[in-house]
Amino acid sequence: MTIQEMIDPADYRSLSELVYDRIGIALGPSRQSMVSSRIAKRLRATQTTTVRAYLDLVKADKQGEELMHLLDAITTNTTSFFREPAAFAALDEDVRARLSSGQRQFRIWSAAASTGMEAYTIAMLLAENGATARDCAILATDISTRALAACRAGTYTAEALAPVPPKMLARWFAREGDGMRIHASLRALVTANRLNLVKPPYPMRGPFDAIFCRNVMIYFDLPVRQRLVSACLALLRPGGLFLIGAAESLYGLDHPLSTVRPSVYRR
Amino acid sequence: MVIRIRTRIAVLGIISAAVVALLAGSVWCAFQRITVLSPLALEHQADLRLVTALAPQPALTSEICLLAHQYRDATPDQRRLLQDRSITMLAEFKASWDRMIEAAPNHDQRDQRSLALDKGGEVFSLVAAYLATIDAAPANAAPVPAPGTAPTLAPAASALQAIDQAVADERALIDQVGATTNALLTLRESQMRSQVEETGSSLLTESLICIGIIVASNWLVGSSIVRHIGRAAGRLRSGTDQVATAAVEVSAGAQRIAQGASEQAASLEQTTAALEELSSSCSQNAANARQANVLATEASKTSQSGERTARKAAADAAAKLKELGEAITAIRTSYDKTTQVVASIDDIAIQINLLALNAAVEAARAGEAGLGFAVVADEVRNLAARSTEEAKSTAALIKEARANTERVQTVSASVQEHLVHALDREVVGSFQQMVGVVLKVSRLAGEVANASDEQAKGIFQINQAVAKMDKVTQENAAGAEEAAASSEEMQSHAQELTLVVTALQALLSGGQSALEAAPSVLRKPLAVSVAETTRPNHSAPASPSPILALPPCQRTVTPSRNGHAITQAERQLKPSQVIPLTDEEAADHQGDFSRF
Ligand SMILES: C[S@@+](CC[C@H](N)C(=O)[O-])C[C@H]1O[C@@H](n2cnc3c(N)ncnc32)[C@H](O)[C@@H]1O
Repeated sequence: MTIQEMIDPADYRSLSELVYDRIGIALGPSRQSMVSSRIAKRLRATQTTTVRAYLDLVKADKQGEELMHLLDAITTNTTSFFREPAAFAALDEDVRARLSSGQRQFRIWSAAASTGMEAYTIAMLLAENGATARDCAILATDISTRALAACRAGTYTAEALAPVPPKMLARWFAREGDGMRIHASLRALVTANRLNLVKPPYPMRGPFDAIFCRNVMIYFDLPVRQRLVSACLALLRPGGLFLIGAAESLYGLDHPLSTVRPSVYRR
Repeated sequence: MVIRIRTRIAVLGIISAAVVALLAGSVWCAFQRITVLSPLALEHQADLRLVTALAPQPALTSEICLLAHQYRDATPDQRRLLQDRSITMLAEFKASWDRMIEAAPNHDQRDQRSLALDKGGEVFSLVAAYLATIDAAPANAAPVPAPGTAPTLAPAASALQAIDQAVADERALIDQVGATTNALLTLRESQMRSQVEETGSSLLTESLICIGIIVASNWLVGSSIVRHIGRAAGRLRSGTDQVATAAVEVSAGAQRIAQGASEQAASLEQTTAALEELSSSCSQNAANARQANVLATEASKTSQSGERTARKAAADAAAKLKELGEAITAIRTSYDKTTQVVASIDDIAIQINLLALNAAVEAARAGEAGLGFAVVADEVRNLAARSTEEAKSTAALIKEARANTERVQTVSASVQEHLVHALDREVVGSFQQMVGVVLKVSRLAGEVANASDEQAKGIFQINQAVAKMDKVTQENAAGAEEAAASSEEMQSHAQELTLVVTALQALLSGGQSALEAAPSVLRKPLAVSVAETTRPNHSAPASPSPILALPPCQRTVTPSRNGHAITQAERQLKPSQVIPLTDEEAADHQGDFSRF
C-alpha cells in the first residue's frame, strides 16, 4: 500500500477544508504525500486506521487537543538562526538609528516564530545593542504549540546553532544536555504565545517597531495574505519595519509601505 | 555597440534644438525683412514723414499770401502782429523744409522738393520784400487794391501779383511732390505686401521643413531607441522566459523533492511503525519465552515433583506391577503347575485309561490267567492312590490358582486404580519423557528469552536510529516543503515578470494595449502548471476533475496556487463563508499579550 492510497480523495478534501478553515494553509493535491506522511504518526498515535476516522476523532474532540496535534503535524516549521541575514542587518541599522535618536523602548513581533530562532536572533541583536527586558520585548507567535514549546525551552542542537557567530554563541548560549540553551536574559526578552494569523483581530494593542512576517505567506492564498498584512500593518508604527521572506513579495496586495530593500519595507 | 539611449535622446534634443534655432533664425530674418527697420519700410516711413511734413505747406503759403494782402490796410499794431506771424510762418516753413530734407530719401524727391522749397523760399522772400515796401510807403498811400482787381495799379499791386503767382507755383510744385510721394507710397506698400507674403510663404516652407526634420529625426532616433529597447526587451524576454521555465522546473523539482522526502518520511514512519510492532512483538516474545521458561522451570519443577510422585506412583505401580507380575508369575507358576498337574493328570488319566484298557484286555485274556489281573489291579490301585494324591494336589493347586487369580484381580484393580492416577505403565513413560521435554523446553525457552532480549535491544537501537532518521527526514521534508512553497512563489513572480516584459514588448511593437495584454498573475487567478506537472501520479488522469482533491478555498479564491478551473457554485462562495468566525476564535490566540 503506497502512502497516497492511504487517503481517500474525499477524506483528503475534508482534511484540506478543515486545515484551510482553521489556519488558512491551502493544501493542494500536490501536498497529498506530505499530508499523508505527516498525519500517519497521528493515525498511529490515535490508533485510527483511516483518515476519515481520524477526522471524526478530531471533530469529536471538544478540547481541541487533537486538532492542535493535527495542526502541529501540518505546519512546516522550517526556520534557522540568522535566516536571510539581510533582514537582520536592516533591523540592526534601524535599531541603531532609533537608539541614537534617544529611543529606548522596543517592541518587535516575530509573527510566525516557529521554534523561536528568529525571535532569539532578534533578541541577540537587541541585546548586543544593550537592550534589557525592562525596556524591550519581543513577541513570538505561532499556531503550532509544539513549535512554541521549543521556543519557550530555548534549547537547540549544535547543527541548528551553526549560523550563530562564535562570539555570540559564546556570549548567549550555555551547554545543556545534548544541546545549547539560550541565556535566561534573552529568554526573558521573548514572550511565546499562540496566535492564529488568519484570525484577526489580534489581541495586541501595538504599535510595534518592527514586524517579522516571514515565510508564512507562502502557505497562504491572496485573500488570506491581504487580511493578514492589513491586520499586521495596523499594529505597525509609522516608520516601522515590515519584513517578509526572501521568496515572498507584496505583489497584488494593498499596502501603504515603501521598499527599503528587497523583502524589507517601511511604513 | 549599442549607443546609450540617453545619448540618443540627447542627440535628438540637440537636433531638435538646432532645428528650432534655425527656424527661429529664419523667423527673425523674415521679421527683419518686414519690420520697420527694413530699408523699404524705412523709405516708406520717410515718405510718410515727407507727406506729413508736406501737409502744412499749402496752408502756410495760402496764409502768407493772405497776410500779404491784409498787410497794407492793417493798422500799425496789426502790422506788427502780422509781421510776427510772418516770422513764425517762415520758421514753420523752414522746419517743414528741414523735415522734408530729412525725410527725402532719394534724389528725385529731393530735387522736386528743393524746387518746391526754392519756390517756397521765393514766396517768403517776396512777401518779406512786399512787407518792407509797404512799411516804407507813406501811411496815407492808397491802399493796395484787392489782389487780382487792379494788379497793375501800383508796384505793390504787382508785388502782390508776383506773390500770388509764386504761391500758385509753389502749390503746383507741392502737389507734384505729393503726387510723386503718394505714387511711391503706393508702390512701396505693394512691395511691402508682396515681401510680407513672400516671407510668410518662405517661413511656412521653412517651418514645414523644420517640422519635417524634427519629425524625421525624432522618428529616426525614436525608432532606433525603440529598436534597441525592443532588442533589449527581446533579450529580457528570453531571459524571463528562461527564468520562468527554470522556476517551473525548480518548483517542480522542489515539489518532487518534497514529495520524495514526504514519502521517505512516510515509509520511514511505516518502518518506525513496523519496527515498533516488531520490537513490541519481540519483547512480547521475550516475555513469552521468559514466561515459558518460568513455566517450564516450574513445570519441570512440578513435573520433577510430579515425577517424583509419578516415580512413586510408578514405583508403586511397578511394585504393584511387580506384585502383579509376581502374581502373574505365581499365577503362571501355579498355572504351569496346574498345567503340569493337568498334564500329569492327563498323563495319569491316559495312563489310567491305557492301564485300565490294558487291565481290561489283560483281565479278559487272563481269565485263566487272572493272575495278571491282580497285577493290573495293583497297578490301578497305585495309580489310583497316585491319582488321588494328584487329585488332592490338583485340588490344592486349583485352590491356590484361584487364590492367585483372586490376588491378580485385586492387584490389577489396584494397578488400574493407580494407573487412573498415574496412568498406566506407558503413560508413566511418556510422562517421564515429557518431563525431559519440559526440561529441554525450559532450557530452550531460556535461550529464546535471552535471544529475544538481545534482539529487543538491537531493535531498540534500530528504533532509535530510525527515530533519528525520522527526525532528520522530517526536517528534510519540511525544508523541501518550504522550498517547494517558496519556489512556487518565485514561479509566480517569474510569470509576473514575463507578463510585464510581454507588456513592454507589446508597448514597443505597438500592439494591443500593454496593460490589457498583461494582467497580473497574482491579481488574476492563473493556471499554474506545477500542480499539473507534479501532481502525485495517484490521481489518475482519467479522473474528471482534479479539483476533487482541492480544498474549497482554493477552488474559490486561489486557483493560482494549483491552478484549476473554478466551478460556478464555488465561485459564488466568499472567503468569509469559507472561513467562518466561530466561538472557537478565542482558542486561536492564547497567552499573555499585556506587554504588547
Ligand atoms: C516556515 S515557518 C517560518 C519561521 C520563521 N518566520 C522564518 O522565516 O524562519 C512558518 C510558521 O508559520 C506557522 N503558521 C502557519 N500558519 C499559521 C497561522 N495561521 N497562524 C500562525 N502561525 C502559522 C507555522 O506553524 C510555522 O511555524
